[in-house]
Amino acid sequence: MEENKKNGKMKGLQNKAGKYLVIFVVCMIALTIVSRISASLTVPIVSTQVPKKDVLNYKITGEGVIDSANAIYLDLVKNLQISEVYVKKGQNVKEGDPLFCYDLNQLNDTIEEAQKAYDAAQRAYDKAVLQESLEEDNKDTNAEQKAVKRANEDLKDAQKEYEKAKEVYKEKIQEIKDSLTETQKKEYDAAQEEYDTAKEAYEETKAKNAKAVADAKEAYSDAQTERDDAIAEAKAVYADAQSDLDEVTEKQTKLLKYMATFEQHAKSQKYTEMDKDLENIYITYFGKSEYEQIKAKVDEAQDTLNQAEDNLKSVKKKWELTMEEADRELAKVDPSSDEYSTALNKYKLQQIEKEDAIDEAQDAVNSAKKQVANVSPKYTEITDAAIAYFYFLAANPTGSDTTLHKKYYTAIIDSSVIDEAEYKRKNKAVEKAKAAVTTVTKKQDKLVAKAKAAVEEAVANQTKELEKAKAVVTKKAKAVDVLLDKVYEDKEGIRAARESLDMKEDAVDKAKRQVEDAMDTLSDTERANAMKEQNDRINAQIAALDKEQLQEEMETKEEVLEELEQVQKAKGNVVADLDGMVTALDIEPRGTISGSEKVAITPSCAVFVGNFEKDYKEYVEIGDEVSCKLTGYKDPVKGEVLTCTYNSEIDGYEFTAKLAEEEYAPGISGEFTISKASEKYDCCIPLTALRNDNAGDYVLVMREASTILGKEYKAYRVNVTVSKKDFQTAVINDVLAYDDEVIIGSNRNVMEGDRVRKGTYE
Amino acid sequence: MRNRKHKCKKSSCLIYMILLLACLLIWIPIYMVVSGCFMRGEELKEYIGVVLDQGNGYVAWPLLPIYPTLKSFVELLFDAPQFFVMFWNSCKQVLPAVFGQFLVAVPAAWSFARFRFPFKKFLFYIYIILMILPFQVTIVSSYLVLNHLHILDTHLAIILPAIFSTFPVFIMTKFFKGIPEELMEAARLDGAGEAYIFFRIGIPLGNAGIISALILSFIELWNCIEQPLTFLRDKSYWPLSLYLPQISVDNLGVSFIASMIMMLPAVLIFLKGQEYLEQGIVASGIKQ
Repeated sequence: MEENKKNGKMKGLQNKAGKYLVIFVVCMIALTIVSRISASLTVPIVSTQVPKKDVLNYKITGEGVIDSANAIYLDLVKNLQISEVYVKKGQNVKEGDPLFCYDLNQLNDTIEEAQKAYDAAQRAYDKAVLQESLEEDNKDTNAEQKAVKRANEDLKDAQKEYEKAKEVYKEKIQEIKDSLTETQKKEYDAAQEEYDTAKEAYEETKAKNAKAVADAKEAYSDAQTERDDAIAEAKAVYADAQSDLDEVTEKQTKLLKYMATFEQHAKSQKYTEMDKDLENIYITYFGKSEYEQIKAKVDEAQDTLNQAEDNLKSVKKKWELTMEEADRELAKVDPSSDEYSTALNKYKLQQIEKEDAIDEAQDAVNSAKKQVANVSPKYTEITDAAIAYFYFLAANPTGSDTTLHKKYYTAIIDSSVIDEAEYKRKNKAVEKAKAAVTTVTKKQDKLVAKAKAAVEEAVANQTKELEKAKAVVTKKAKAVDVLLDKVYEDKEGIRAARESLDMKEDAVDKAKRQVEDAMDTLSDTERANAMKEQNDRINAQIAALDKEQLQEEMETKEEVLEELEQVQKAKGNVVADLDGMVTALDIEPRGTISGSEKVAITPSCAVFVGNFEKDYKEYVEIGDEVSCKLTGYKDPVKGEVLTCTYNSEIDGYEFTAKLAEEEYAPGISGEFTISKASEKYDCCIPLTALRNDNAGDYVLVMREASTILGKEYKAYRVNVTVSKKDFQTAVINDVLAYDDEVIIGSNRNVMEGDRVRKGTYE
Repeated sequence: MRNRKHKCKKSSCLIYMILLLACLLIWIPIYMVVSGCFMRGEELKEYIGVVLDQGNGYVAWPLLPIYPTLKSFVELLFDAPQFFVMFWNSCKQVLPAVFGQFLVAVPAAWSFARFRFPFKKFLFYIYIILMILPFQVTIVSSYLVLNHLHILDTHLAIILPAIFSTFPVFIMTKFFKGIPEELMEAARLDGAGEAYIFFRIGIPLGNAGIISALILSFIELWNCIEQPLTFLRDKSYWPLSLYLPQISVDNLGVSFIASMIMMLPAVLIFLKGQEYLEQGIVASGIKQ
């Protein structure tokens, strides 16, 4: 029965196991499907792109305003000869019209020289680069360290020998002592005691003097430190005083600087720079806001004056014609007739009217001139003095006129520029501080010298006293020897032991000195190495600065060469860049450009003036296209960059652009866009592919991987270095293969090592 | 008499105690696996991290999880398609191998048990030696042969060597030897041929041995690691036995569940065939 029950249970269990197995398999099939579906939902879908050759597009935007065109001066190449001039001053020219031509033969020679100069500059730069890479080893201190080690070992050996000799001597002494009589023993003990006392006294003297020398050295070192601190403090006070003085003279210093550059530019007739210098003088003298107010008022007054002058001219002309007509009328009348007196009276009346009208107009002109002068008498004074001096310098670049110069100087550097009382006070303080530095230095040097003398005295005392004590010790030792000599037959033995002991003692002292010397040599070498390292660092910095300078020179020469080559390319012909009138033409056929000649074209249209940050300068060149969206105009207008100069006030660049199509009234503001494409780069990726973390920039590349699920795609990290980028594309170093698929986007966050799949997503 | 009963009770208590201890030793690891399925990775690291170089101290295990969770279940059963790929790879390798063994080992065992032929004993000893040899000894020769046959990196690299395994032959031979010879003679007298005797008498009577051998083969093949690791480079062919070594320390919860799921088919098949296993053991004890 029980057996049957058991069998029944077993059967039931077996059946259940079978059922569970089937259920298990069915569940596994279902979960297989579910897990696949779930994985497909979680695996990110990515879009990829292979690295490709591309250009970077730069978009520089900003604001600007339409302004009346200033004359645009052409850059003339110095020291070149002009072969022909095709235009005249005042002639209207169109864009592309030839203006003049350089002498080609001379141009070619100049290019050759410029090429040589550039090659030399390049060689100098390459040499500096190679020099920078040279490394020098510091002097190895191994030898000195070994010497110290050897000296220490020798000292140990010497000390061992000394101890041995001491032991031998002691034995000899003991032998003698054992053979002494009572009296002799007493004498010997007394002599030995004196000897020991003398030796103790010697050691005490040595210790005492060593301490004294050490104290003196410490006092010397403290004195040196105190000296350095006191001098540094005095120098700091002097520096503060000097800085206060500089604050007082800052305005004057700036003005003097601008005045000097104004003179230079006036001599070389660089008018644009001159105007800039004069403006800087005004701004420094008056302050920016006040200067702008003055300028506005002066311009207004000047406009009034111009109008008054124009009015005077037209009044004069009108009355001239009227008087001519009156003369003709009068001439027609017969002098003997009755109408003649009437006609004559009328004529006289007209003359009076003419004079009145002209006087009135003239008064208006004078009044306007007064108004101009009265806006700011100081402004007028500076302007007049500067212009007068400029005319003189322009005509006589090498000459000098002390009167005009003095007038120019005193007009600008007056009492308002520098507070004399304050200046005197601060100057006095500077001189006082300077004197204090000298006084402190002298005083401290004296103290240091005194401390040094104290050290020398202590050392001398030490030597003297030690010698004295040693002499006593030697005398006492000799007394002991004499006693021993009296009793001991084998004098040589004890003497030899004594001599040997003394020799060993000397050897120990010598070895100690050698250890000290070796250590001094080692520390000298280490100090020399440290100094050399510092010097090397400074030399490296100097070399780097030299290299920078050479690089600048090389780049300058390269620019000159490029300029000449461009002229050569154009076969020496210089053409007008824009439509306008030739307003300056200081060149002649067969003349040589010295640098003071000017050729200028005033554009016949208004120009767009805008500015941008200095970081974008490399992307903007003369001739680039500009797109301007002007206020009140529906469509953007295209233009071409005419000039591009640095403006220190905004720490950026200001450019002017000639606009195509119609003319525009000055004052219209607008926004500009300059789009530029760079050179082609080999390895470019979209910015969306670029990622960044603490380790730097990197991209994720989709690569095939063999996994349990078969061939799958995974995201792998590749570290990159970005050399350049614009708003959309980045140029990276060559670490990617041409067929590497870089992940540029995904429908969810992708990390390194994640499974991914390619596809489209929303 | 009373003393005797008392003595019997005491001795049986002692026996039960010893058996209980033995049971605990067997059941504790299984309990750990089951309870570990409901623990998060961080909790597992806290208890057994020292074993995996994740800290200092001693291993501990609670009676119940402090923060029970089904997160590991979800992670394995819904977020790990690789697990199922490997499960089906195991099925694809083990089931054909077991079936192949049935086709090859049964006749081989019958011939060793019932027939006489030259070098029979020598051949049987070779079978025994091959059965005893560890896999590491034959790994190189097996690799070369499979490479020559161009079946490396395929399921056949596991299935074919398993089909011709010597272990089931050894087990089944013992069972077939237990069938009385008189039965064969009686069948021959009745005009039955050798094939008829094999299919109609041998296989039914040797059922227990056949099934027990196949069950043991199944369990061995389900858990084998060395052969797949050696002969399968492509991970998409790897069986479930290679899933656990891939699990990192950060995913300990998943490893417990994977172990449990991997254990289930073997347990269920064993339970299903337990009767035959017992019969086989009993039958082997009967003497003619």
